[in-house]
Amino acid sequence: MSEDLERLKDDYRRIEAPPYLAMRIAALAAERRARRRRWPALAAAAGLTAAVLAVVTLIPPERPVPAQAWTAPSYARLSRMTPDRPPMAPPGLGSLKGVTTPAMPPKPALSRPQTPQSFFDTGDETRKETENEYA
Amino acid sequence: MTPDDSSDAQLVRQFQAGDPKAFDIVVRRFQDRVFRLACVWLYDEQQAADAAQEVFLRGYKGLRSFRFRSTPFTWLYRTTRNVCNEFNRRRRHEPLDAPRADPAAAPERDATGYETARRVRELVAVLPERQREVVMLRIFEDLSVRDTASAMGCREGTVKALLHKACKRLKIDLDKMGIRP
Repeated sequence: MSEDLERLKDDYRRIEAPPYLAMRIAALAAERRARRRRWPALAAAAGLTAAVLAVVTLIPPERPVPAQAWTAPSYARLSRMTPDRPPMAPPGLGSLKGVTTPAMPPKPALSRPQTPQSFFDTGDETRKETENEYA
Repeated sequence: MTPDDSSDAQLVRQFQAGDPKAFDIVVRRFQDRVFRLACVWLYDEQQAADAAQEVFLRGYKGLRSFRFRSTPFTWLYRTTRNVCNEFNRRRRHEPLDAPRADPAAAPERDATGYETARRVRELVAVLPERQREVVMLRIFEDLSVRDTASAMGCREGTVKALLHKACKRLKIDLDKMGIRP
């Protein structure tokens, strides 16, 4: 090796890293250490959040009711409306066959016909008046 | 034995065992070498500092699973090379009028470092990429042939052959630059 090359080599080996470099690396390494320690807690928190989000997402959402504008009903349409109910058959006489009803009482027979005999025949009333005259 | 005296491998083992201070010592021990290499590759001190920071942050993650098949510096060197390549690729897409760091605005020490890095870069710029790497690791970083081979992912014989070719070529180019071989 020549002397100049030796001198260049010595100069080269005198090159030093800036004094802040080691401190900067130490600070960054410490930060990475702290980040590695924080990692399990962060992972647990992230897992818990993901689980909660999954549960919330899996619950079916309530169907929204579409907003409808109220319109006044038309009377002509209302008059044509029929109640929406199942048709009901009217009860037939056959269905009443089994119903038992008490027998009607016999028709009372009259002893004598009450037909007036004459216009003046007032019966007992006349007799009572005469009785009162002599009382 | 204090942690500062521990070998590189011991420090990495302590870091793997959960000692954060061991990583700080690794940073202090290798930051200059990583920064120097980044300076030569990126030719921009601000970007070299950012690249060195990125290298050590990757090291903070990657050295936890380091298997000691090579030396820790070899691992850091490969990471530095990858990070600098990424920075260079990103820079290629920057517009030409993008604001760049002004070396004249840097303090005196940084300006000297910038100038030295520029000279080294100009010296190895004439070499093919593999020879450039060998020169940087074997001559400027004083790595052994074995470690250089490990860092470059090749055989020791390849390192020797590449270094021989590079020195042969540098002698010619050193003449051209006015530097006597």
